[in-house]
Amino acid sequence: MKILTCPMNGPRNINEFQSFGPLKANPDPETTSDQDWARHLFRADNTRGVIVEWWRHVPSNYFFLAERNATTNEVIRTFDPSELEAAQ
Amino acid sequence: MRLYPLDPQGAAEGTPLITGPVSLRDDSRTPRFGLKGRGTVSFLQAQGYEVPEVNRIANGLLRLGREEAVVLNHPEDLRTRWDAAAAPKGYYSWREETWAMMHLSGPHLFDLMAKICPVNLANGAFAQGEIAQTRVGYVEAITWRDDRGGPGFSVLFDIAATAFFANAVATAAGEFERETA
Repeated sequence: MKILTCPMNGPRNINEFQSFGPLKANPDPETTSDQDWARHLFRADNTRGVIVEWWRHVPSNYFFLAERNATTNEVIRTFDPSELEAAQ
Repeated sequence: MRLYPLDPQGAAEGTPLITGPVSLRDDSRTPRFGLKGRGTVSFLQAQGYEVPEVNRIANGLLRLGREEAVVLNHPEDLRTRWDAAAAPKGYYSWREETWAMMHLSGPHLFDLMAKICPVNLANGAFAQGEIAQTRVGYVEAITWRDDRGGPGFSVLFDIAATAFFANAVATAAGEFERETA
């Protein structure tokens, strides 16, 4: 069983988690075209290399971020979303 | 009057709760006051509760997240006080209706927990006062050490899984029954 470390609950079996896809910037509703909105909502870039993704620990309903190498599937680190807000 | 799954006419009526090597007891009728969202911790602190760290339980108060908590066996007027309080005070999460609560004990308790829960709950690995939010008996659940006379664990989980959980515990404990027979 693959183990993922949840920032709140510690190391847990991967089947306790749900993936929510890569972190993306929110488009500006005033200026974004319908086509770009559709792309934002329904299409993924499928980037290789290191990406940041949303994950959820299902039993505690806790959302967090993981830095993962999409080529090797190595998880580099997981962290609370407040870290991202603090960096902005 | 509120109808719980194991009550007569309830959705899980007639589901047996195992006793013997492991004993399962239904505590779903006990009061639970759950809050979630901004203001939860400050409201509870204003009511005089000592709010522990995340994933810890203290004096019947479970802290399940930065802004999520459940008070077990709360005083009757806590809901009235919450209704009257000014926002932000969290929102009411209906834990007395949406969650079942069960208690596990018995001579094969730790053998059973090792089978049905991926977190190491053994003596020395999991202390009194800690909370594990994980899976128990294939169901998403919250569990903590709750000794009543002998060692025990309390479990909170989706109330719709009441019969499934009771059956999963009975099936997992089957091998210990054969040993003692």
